[in-house]
Amino acid sequence: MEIAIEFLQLAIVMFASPLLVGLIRKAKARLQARRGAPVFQPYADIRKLLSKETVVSENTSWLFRFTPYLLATTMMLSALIVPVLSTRTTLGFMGNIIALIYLFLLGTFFLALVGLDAGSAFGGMGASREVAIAALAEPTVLIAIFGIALRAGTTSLDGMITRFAAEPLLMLNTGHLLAFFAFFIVALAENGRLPVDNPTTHLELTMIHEAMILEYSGRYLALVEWAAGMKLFLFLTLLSNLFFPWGVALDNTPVALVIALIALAIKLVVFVGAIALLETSVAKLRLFRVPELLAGSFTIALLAVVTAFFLR
Amino acid sequence: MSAEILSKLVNLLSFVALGLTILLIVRARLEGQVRAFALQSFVLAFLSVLIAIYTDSFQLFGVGVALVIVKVVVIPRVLNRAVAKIGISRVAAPYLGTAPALIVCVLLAIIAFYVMTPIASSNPLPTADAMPLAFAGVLIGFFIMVDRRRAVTQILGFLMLENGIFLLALLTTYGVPFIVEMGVFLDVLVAVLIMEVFVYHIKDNFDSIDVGELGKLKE
Repeated sequence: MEIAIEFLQLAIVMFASPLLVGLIRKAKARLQARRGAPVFQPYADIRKLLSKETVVSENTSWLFRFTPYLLATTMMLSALIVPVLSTRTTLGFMGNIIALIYLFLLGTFFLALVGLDAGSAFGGMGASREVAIAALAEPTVLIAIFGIALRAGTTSLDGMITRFAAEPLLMLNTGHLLAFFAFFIVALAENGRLPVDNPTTHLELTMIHEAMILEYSGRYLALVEWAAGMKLFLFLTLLSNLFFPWGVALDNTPVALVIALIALAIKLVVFVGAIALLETSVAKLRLFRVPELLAGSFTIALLAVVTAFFLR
Repeated sequence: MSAEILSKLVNLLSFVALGLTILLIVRARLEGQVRAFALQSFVLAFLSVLIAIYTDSFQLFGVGVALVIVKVVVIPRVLNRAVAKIGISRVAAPYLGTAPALIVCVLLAIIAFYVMTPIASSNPLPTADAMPLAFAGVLIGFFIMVDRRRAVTQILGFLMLENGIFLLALLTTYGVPFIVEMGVFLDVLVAVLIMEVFVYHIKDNFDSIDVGELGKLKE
């Protein structure tokens, strides 16, 4: 039964993540008074890319061919650890939140290597920017995690959700809210969303994530895009289930799972709306101002830890 | 309203006030900084009305209303007028960059927590938990005053400092008597008006409101 739920969670992450990306694009388009592509467009994109020919530069090494598989695999592995629907997961024991964050970072690391691999100028530029941002976002992620882990008394994701779900005045707890904001800013930075990186641009001077994957085509590109979608899905699931744990199934009865699925869908739709609104209303920060944003998020995370220590 | 919910709400609102103090460092434009101050004063007014409802204190309610009039309406207007009249470039010109200044703020907040937590835990009121936050606001207000070169932004630091002291009094003893609070508001208002005049004179004499210029001798 528990293994079936694991596979259900994996399937949800794998097959719903293109829909999430499509929803964000659609919501943004509607907010900008455009009609926008249909929400199922990302599926069509992936299918088209899978049937296309793959062109690989002859200057590249095995890393280039290996990385798309690695990206997809780490994301699928993360999908087994993140409590998408239920806190009673079989594999929940094998990874806590720190392991999860480093699984995400493994993908970032290899993507940066691939950016350098083909030897193109853009790839190198994208890789250097990505690594700079990752290095700045890293301390914030860890400190925000410590902020909530200290309050929950555990770093296990399941334990944290169980603990927070039992707390009635959760939304009035300042440490919790501070950690949420810090984590949200970092999630935007890690996923290459707007104030840090524009996911729709191919303009030479501004792109970060797009610059690294510029050399990819065909099924490799499909895998990379799909993995990016899964990463966004996992980050938003983590944010909604960890910080707003209402509805997450605490036991594995079918009713609880259905409720968890509906609750997750509602929370994700709210996040989609928030991201679309944010990306419509703010401009991309200049690259040299990104450290200021991340310093702000670092400050918030540090205050979250301080409150976890001092405020009850 | 139970004491526990009040305590949580007070914590949250005090944190919003502290966050707005820190926002003063991040915002580059002076209008944005004045708005942050007005918003912070509004949060404090809301907080005092909340505590007034909890304690059935009519005086505290009056303090909240007076706070809105003086600090949300009058003082931001005076400051905006000063900004418009001097026509200075819209930057705060701090000595430290944004990122180091934010780190200093966090360190000040940690110091405030370290110093005030024992004091707060000996206070029986449900609002006492948030005292370290108010004290952090005082310290950061001080820091903003020291860190800024331009006279107008120093006034903002002073106002934030004053707001921090008001919040501290509110949390420790449910506020000082109405008449004392009125005296303080009047003092602050007059201080801002006088400082505004000072700023105009500095601008006339030195052709800039950079207080660093005051250290130099002129013929």
